Formats: sequence, structure tokens, C-alpha cells
Amino acid sequence: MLSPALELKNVVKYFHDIKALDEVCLKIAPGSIHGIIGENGAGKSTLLKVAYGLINPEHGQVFVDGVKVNIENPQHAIDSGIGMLHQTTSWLEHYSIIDNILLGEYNGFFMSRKKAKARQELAQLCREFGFSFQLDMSMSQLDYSERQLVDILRSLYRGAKVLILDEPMALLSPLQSNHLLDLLELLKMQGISILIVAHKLSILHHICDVISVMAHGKLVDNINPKEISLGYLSKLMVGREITLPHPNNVVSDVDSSLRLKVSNLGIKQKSRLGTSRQSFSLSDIDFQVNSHEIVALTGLAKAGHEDLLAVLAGSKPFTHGRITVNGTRFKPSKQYDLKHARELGIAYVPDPLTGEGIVGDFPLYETAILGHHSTSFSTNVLHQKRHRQKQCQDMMREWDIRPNNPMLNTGALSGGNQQKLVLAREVSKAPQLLLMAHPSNGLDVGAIESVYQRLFKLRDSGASIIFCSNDLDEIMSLSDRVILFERGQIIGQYYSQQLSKNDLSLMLANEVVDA
Amino acid sequence: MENTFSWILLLDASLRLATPLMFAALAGFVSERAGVMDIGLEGKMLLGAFAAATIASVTGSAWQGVFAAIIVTGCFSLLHAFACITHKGDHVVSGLAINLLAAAVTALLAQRIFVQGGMTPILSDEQRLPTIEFPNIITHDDSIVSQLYWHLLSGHNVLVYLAFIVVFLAIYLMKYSTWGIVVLAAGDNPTALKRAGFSVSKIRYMAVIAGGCICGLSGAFLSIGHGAGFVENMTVGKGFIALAALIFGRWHPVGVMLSCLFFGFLEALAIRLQESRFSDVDSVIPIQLLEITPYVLTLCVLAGVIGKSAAPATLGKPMR
Amino acid sequence: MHNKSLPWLNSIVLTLANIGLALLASVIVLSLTGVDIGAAISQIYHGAFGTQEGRGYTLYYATNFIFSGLGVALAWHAGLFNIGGEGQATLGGLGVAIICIQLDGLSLWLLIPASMLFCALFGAIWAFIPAWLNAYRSSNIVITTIMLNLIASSFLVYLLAGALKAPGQMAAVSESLSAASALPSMQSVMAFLGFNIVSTPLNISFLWALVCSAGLYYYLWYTKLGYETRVVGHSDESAHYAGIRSKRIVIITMMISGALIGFIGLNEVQGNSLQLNVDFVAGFGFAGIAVALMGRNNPLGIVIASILFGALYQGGSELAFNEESIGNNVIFLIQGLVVLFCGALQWMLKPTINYWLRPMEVTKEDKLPVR
Repeated sequence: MLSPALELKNVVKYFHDIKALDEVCLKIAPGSIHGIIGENGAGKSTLLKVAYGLINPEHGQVFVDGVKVNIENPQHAIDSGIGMLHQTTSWLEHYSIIDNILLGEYNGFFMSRKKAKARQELAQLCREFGFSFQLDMSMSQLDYSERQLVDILRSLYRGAKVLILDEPMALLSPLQSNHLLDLLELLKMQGISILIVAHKLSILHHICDVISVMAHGKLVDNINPKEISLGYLSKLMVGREITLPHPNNVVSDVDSSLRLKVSNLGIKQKSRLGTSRQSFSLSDIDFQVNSHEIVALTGLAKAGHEDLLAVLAGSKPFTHGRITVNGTRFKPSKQYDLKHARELGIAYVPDPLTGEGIVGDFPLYETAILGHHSTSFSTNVLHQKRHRQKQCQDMMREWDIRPNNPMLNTGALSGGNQQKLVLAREVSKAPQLLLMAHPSNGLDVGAIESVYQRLFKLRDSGASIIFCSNDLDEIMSLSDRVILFERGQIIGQYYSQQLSKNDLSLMLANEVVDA
Repeated sequence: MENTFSWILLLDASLRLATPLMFAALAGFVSERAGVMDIGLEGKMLLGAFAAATIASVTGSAWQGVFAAIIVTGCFSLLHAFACITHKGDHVVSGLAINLLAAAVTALLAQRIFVQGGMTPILSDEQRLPTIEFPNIITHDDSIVSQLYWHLLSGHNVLVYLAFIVVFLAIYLMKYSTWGIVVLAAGDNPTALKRAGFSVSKIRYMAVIAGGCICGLSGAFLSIGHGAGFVENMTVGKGFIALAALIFGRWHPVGVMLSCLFFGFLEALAIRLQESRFSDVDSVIPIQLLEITPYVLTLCVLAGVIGKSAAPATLGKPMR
Repeated sequence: MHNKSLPWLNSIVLTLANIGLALLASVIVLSLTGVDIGAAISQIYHGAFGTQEGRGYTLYYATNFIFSGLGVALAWHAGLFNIGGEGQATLGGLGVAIICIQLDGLSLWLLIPASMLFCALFGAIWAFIPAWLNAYRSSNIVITTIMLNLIASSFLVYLLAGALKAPGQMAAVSESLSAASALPSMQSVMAFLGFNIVSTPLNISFLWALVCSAGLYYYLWYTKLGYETRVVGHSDESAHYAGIRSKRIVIITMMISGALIGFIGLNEVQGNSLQLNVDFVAGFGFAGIAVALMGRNNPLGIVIASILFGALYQGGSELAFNEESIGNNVIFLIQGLVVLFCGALQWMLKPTINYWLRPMEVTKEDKLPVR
């Protein structure tokens, strides 16, 4: 039997105290397409980065064609015949394609002679695989999908035998996706092994020879997609339902009022790639949110749900349409900003990964007033500091934020406790509309449950809550209603209780469900 | 005719005064294009001047002096790289430390070695770098061509010509060599570089040290090329003018060269006016106005009044 | 200079270690340049603290260091690197000189507030330029302040060669302020309180410097503006989230910073020399960076660091009298090494110190796997 084209053995990787990869073993047969699926945070991207040397694991070995190799940086990976297509491409904008590709071929003073030879080889590869671009075109003229192809071309030119792809289809149109898939089939025929991570299950189900399922940093299953249905595949991925008990929405029997109305909202983007094409990062957004309601916004990467939340919070400007909050109408202008939104009773919990909501260098009692600091300063020098500390300590006790010492640096707290502090700060202001981005990121299970209880209580007292999330468990447990986004548009609205997690997962994977 | 001749002499002085700026600005160019900010040019220039004069004076060989200048400034830029790249220190703070250290160390050592109030002895012609006379292909006469040839082009210090060679080398390397692309990428898009398999730190180290070595030439020109010995704080802000030229030249070698020449011209004009002040009537333009022109122009560039400032994307930011 | 979140003990030890390293390096470099270290230290100490006169001069110089240190530190809390101290101090001195000449003969009770106001105003205006450029044209504040330093110094030379030049003087100095417009010296203040001290240039600006330190402390940690300043300094994202108008904060902060540094002019011109000369700032503006770094940007730390630098300055100039070769370069050397070790290399010792302090604190990091 042939030895695997790429084999990862017992890979362990920690991020701080979290085990991101837990003894992962993966074998990729030569000339096969191998998919990896799993929920967000399952460790898929981390595993790929280990294979390409962008992340060094604490433990584990890599074998290429049965030979152990030492991969500490991308150069090692390239030398071992591994190429990678990154989720976001990164090129030198003002150089030609060929210069970008030759960048890795470090040959010093004279470029021209080598370039002529390389040009022939590259042209040959272009013909073979049907790439249509000219090698002398400047990188800035290419769009995203063409840049991806250059990434692949570079890997091929450098003799890659294994190609790693991280979410290659996330930003492609269906047509571009199909082109890419054809190319992958072609590469496979040429004997190149492919390792691919993607959210769109149907695509993986269609093209992969083997699919590995990851969950919580572990590789839990290897399956042959020919033998199972797509629905079953999705079930494997989401695992068992760990939805928390969801108290019924009382919206129907209380006189709920219209809290937020968004009509025809859009953001026109300046085109980034130097082309004259105009694009919208959000367009035609129409929806309403009532009091006593929790609404989830979701979609795949860059679908626009995160942008919309930032727009509602006043953190990001919009260019079209209007927002009506509690009867006050806003047109696109600079008038609607975070400060203004706060005055209207909107509280905003930003994505914990951005660190926006905290100031790492500040003691906790100072972070605890961020955004609400206008009223926190009095002329009474001796009293005010102690007063703020006391308030902060009470809040921390109530929300079980540990260690319970308001003098500590915010940065010294664990991510989960930082997030709890931000939630506590915003919820304690008793907002009429609470906006949250990925609210339970970093929280452990126990904390999630108690946070949810508080959020339900806030809802039942009449507040509206909107959150964006990519975590299916969170959406199913917390929301009353789900709004689905794709390419900056709303593609569907559903009541959560009429959905199962599996339905949602399939919908996100672009499958039609008879709901 | 008299008038033309005096213009030629003015341009001739401009070339001489632009040379140290050109070396220093190019040194800054190499380092900053790789993403490491360098406000320590002034200090390194001073160190280079001191090392060159001291070694030339002790050994009697000007070229050994040049070599010493390159080594010394290279070492100090190694320190800069160590602080900025390895320990992710603030580029400005580190550059400032080098400026302060250079001023102190050169003065203390000069006093210690030569005991002449912080100066080296006046260097003899053998201890200085030679000037280059062009071959005798044009006769000496009053025609413009001859004047230009003999008074503007020929008869400069060897480092003046070297400065232009270095500029053209920089242009060539930037455009046609992988080294150039790699250095530019280290400042503009380190991520792409990393993915292509390079160590960004290593490239930045090399660029910073290369910049330091070029800066040594600038100092050497001051003390053993144009001048004849080291004097305490002899750079008097030339390093900052070079920094201004780098920004005014938009981080491009041709632009840097032209702005150095322009700033050199302004300086020559100021000197001329100062001389004429004692003989002729008071000049209309205050000398200080000429002095501050480079700085004001740089402010305008930074303010986006004259075109757009084109700083490397990751300039001054430590690599994560 | 963003603090990584260190436990406070480690942070203090790290600061002290950095200062220690800087002083050690100074000793090494100085002994390599042939200075007799033991003698030099005792001479500096004696010169700075040994006599009443020495102490007076020490505090007089410390006043300048406090002002420039406070200015640099305030800007730094907003994430701005104000290295325009030289220029702002120059303008401050110019403001004082102009107002004192214009209002000559006015009662001191009115003249002092007026000169303080003008001093602050001139410094603030000079700092407004880079602040505005930074906020609205996103110009690099380091470069703009450097350029403005050089412009200010040329501007001063221009004025002293022309408009402000004292008639009948060869040197480029302004006409002298009348002795009646001088700030009260500490000697007269103490005499008023019944103490008898010798006459030194030390004057009431030292007390003003202490007031400014306390005021800055209050401003940074007890007012809304100070809070917003520090948020802006930490991260643009957090400031945006908190609804803080960063541009406004940048401008306010830089103007206060410029005003503080401008007070160097008050101490120098109205407190001591009573005339403007070309280089009255003499590096005090730059020195603020070393002072602020050494004092960890904390007003109390800055006062302590300033007294240390004042002592070095005074002791160093004593040394300069006795030993021809040394002069103020010793100060520049120590400044440079302080900037290097407390600034550029400030995190160098962090892993070492964290390692040595590990057994003293049981943190959760102890349980981490070795990376």
C-alpha cells in the first residue's frame, strides 16, 4: 500500500489554557480530496496552519510520503511539497503576478535570467490548468477569485504535491466556486492530494473522497461521503444537540410594541481592489424587532450579519435606507453614532475578539464604566474612586466575575470573565435594546447558562435583544427568531422553535429545507 | 559670464552639501522601506564622522577611516534592530536613544583620545579621501560646457560620486532584484512575505544594518571627505534634514535624491547669502527662511498638501 | 509604551531593573572613556547635594525636567509621542519674554499670571500644529514635532537677530527684562516665611511645577477628560466604542502637553536669566522623554526622576568645572542609556523577571504547559 501523501500524528496545540488540538491524527491518501468539517472553533484552521508551519504545535509529527519532516515555518512546508491557499490572500499589490510568484525564489541580485525560465514553466502550468490571466498583469488588477488561482499556481510552480485549502469558497460566487471545484478535480487527476476545509457541506459531500469530522479539537470520525447522505453528514458535524432549555417567548400574550424598524438599509463599499465595480456590503435590509423578543442574526463568513449589528449600534456608518428606534427615525448621516445610540437606550456588547469593549491596561473598576463614563466623574475626589470601586465590586459579585477584585488589571482576567464584565456593564444599564456580537465567545458552559437566564429576564422585562452569532447551539438556545444572511442580504427569517439545529446547519450550507 | 560662473559655483556647493544628506536619506530609505523607522540618522552620522576621523588620524589611512565608520554605524544599527525587532521596542524611542548616545559618546571619546576640546586634530590631505579629477577631454576655457565640466562635474570628493552610484544601485535593486522586492515587502506586506517562506525579522535586520552602514559613509564624508576632522556635534541637524528629504522624496530613491539635491541647494544658497550679507547690502530673504524650508515642505507633505505621503504600510509597527 | 498586563510587583521590579541596567551601563561606558568613577560619583553627589547652593541648583534644574517630563507623559497617556519639547519650550520662553517686555512696570501680582498665561498659550499653540495635523491629516506626530523643533529654533534665531535683538549688543540676545519683573526667588519666599537660605536661581516655578504634577495626577485619574485621554491612548477601537471623539482628545491633550513644556521658558527666562538667548532650552525638552520613561509616566515618578536628573545636571556641571573633559556629555550619555533601557528595551528583562518572581505568586500561569 502507498504511504499517505501527508500524515499528521498526535498533534497537540494549546492556546493559553485551551486545548485547540488534542492528539489529532490525520492521513491523506495520495491523489485524493480530503475534507474536514466541524463547527466553529473545532480546530480545523489550526490544524491546517500546523501543517503549513504557520503555527508550531506543542507536540506532534508530520510525515510527507511516509518520511518524517520537520515543519517549523512556511519555507519548510514549501520545501516538503506542501502548498496552501489561505482564507484571505495576501499579495504585493503593485507587482506583477510573476514577480509575486517568484518572490519565494530568493536568488538575490539578478532576476531576469531566472525569470525567463520561470515564465516558460508558469505559462506551461497556466495552459495545463486553464488559468486565463497574463503573468505580467499587476496583482491589483485581479479580483479575489483570480488571486486564489495565483495562490494555487504558486504552489504548483513550487512543486506542491499536497494542497491545503482553508475555506476557499467562502467569498466566491456560485459560478466561481464551480470553477474552483473543476480545478480541484483536475489537480486530483494530476496526482495532487488536496486537504480542504469548508462550511458548505454539500460541496464537500460532492467532491471529497474522505471527510474527517472534528469537534472540540479532536478528530472524531473519518467517513466516506459516498456511503452516507448529506443530512447524516450534517448530523455528524453538529454532534448531539446540547441546546439549553429555552423558556417560551411571552411575546404573543403581552402587548408588544415595535422597538426597531430597519428599512431598505445598505452600505455601499468603496471598491478595494482598484476596479471600478461598486459593491454593497449590505443591501436591501428590511426587518423589525419588537419588545420582548430575542433575535439572532446569522450567516457564513462575511455574510453581513456582523456588519448589520455594528450599524445598529452606531459603530459603523450606513449609506442607504433608514433605521427607526423607538419612533425616532435616522437617515444615513453622521448623526447616528454610538453615543447617540446609547442615549436612545441601546447597549452594545462588541465581539470579544476585537477587545473593543474593554481596556486591557485599566483596572476593572475603570473598564466597568467604559462608554458610560460621562456620568461617573464628580468633583468629590476622595469619594468618587471608592464609589466606583464599590459599584464595580457589587456588579462583579452579582455576575460571579472572578477574582472579585476591582483593582486588578482588566487584561489579567480570563477572556470569559472579561466578556462577563462587558455583559454585566451593558445589561446592568437596563437597556431597551441590547445588541451583542458573539455573546458567549469564551464563556464556559456554566457561565453561559447563567448569562442566558439574565438575558431571558431582561427580555421578559420588555427589552429587545439582537445578537449575531455563528454558533448554532447559541442561536438555538437563546433566540426566539433567526434571520439568515448571505452576501449582505437577508435570505430568510424563521422562528427558532420551528427549526432544529440540523435544519439550521443545512440552511447555512445553502441547502433547501422543507420547513 | 560672471553671473553664470557664480551659479555654477552655487550648484557645485549644492552637490557637496547634498552628498551627506543623500547617504543618510538612503540609509533611512533602506531601513524604513523594510518597516523600521529610523530617527537615529543624526546620531549615526555623528558616530560615522567620529569613527572615520579618529581612525584616519590614528592610522593615517582615509580608507581605513571609512571602513571604521561603516563598522561603527553598522553596530549601532544592530542595536536599533535588536531593540525594535527582537524586543519589539518603540522605533522612535530607540532612535532617540541612539541620537543621545552618539552625541555623548563621540564628544567624550574625542576628548579622551585627543584632548583637544572634543575635536580630532586637523587631518592632512593624505588622511582625507581623495578628490577625483576628470580626464582632460575638454579644454579649459570660458565656454559653458567647459565651465560645467571642470567646475560642476569634475573635482569632487570620491564620496560625492559614490553617493550617486549608491542611488542608482538602490533604484536598480529596488526594481530589478528579488532583494529589493523582499525589502519593500517587509515594510508593506510582511504577511505575504511570511507566506512566501521568508523570515520577516531576518530581512528587517539585514535592511536596518545595511542602512546603518550607508549612514556611516555620510558621516565619513563630513569628517574626512568634505571636512578635515571631527568637531563636537558637527552634524548640526543634517540627519533630520535627511529624514525630511526621505519623506519629501516619498520613500523613493529618485525622489530622495532630488530632494537631497534641492535641500543641498537651499543650504548652499543660505551660505551664499550669509557671506554676501557682510559685503553687499542686506539680502531680502532671511537666511532662516531658507533654513526652515525643508522642514516646512516636509510638514506640507505630511499634511497631504503636496500630494500624498507614501509611507510604507507597516512603518514603525512591531511585527506580531 | 503600552503596558502588557504584568502583576504590579513584576512591573515595579522591571522598572527598577531597567533603571539599574541603564546606570550600570553608564558606569561601564564612563569608565571606558577614562573617567574615575568613584571620584566622579562622589563629586557629582557633593556638587548636587553637598551644599545649600548645590541643592538649590539641583531643584532649579529639576523644575525644567518636571515640566518637560509631565508634558511628554501626558501626551503619552493619549498614545502620542510628543518629542516637540524643544520647540514648545522655545515658544514658551518667547511668550514670557514678549509679555514681560510689553508689560514692563506692571505689578508682579498681575504680571505673573499674564506671563504664565502667555507662556502656556505659546507652548500650546506650537503643540496645536502637530496635534491638528495628526488628528485631521493623520500625519506622523513624531516627524511633525521634530520638524517643528527645528523650525522653532530657526524662528528664535531670526527674532533674536532682528525684531527682539537688544540694541547695541553683538551677541544674539534679547533686551533684558527689568529686575522687577523677575519671579520671586525661593530665597525671598523662604525669607518671608522666616527661613534663611542662600541665593540660587531656584524660584517659585518649582512650586508651580509641583502644583502641575498634582494637577496632572488629578486630571488623568479623576476627570472625565483624563479618563478619555487614557482610553484613546490604549486603543482607538475602545475609544470608538466608548463614543469618545478621539480627534478632540488628541488636540486637547497635545495643547496641555505643549503648555506644560512651555513653562520651562517661565523658569528659565523669568525665573533666572531675564533675557532670551539662542539656546536657553538646552536639551531640556528632549530630556523630558528620559524623565517620563524613568518615572513610568506617573507624575510622582516624574518628580522623583526629575530630581535625580537635576542632581546629575548640577553635579555634572560641577564636574565640568573641575574636569575639563566631561561636561554635560555625561548627562546626555545617562539620558541616552535611560531612554534605551527604560524605553526601547523595556521588555527585554520581562521574561527573566517573570521567571524569577514565579515562586512568589501562585497564578494560573504556573499550571500552563511549557510552550
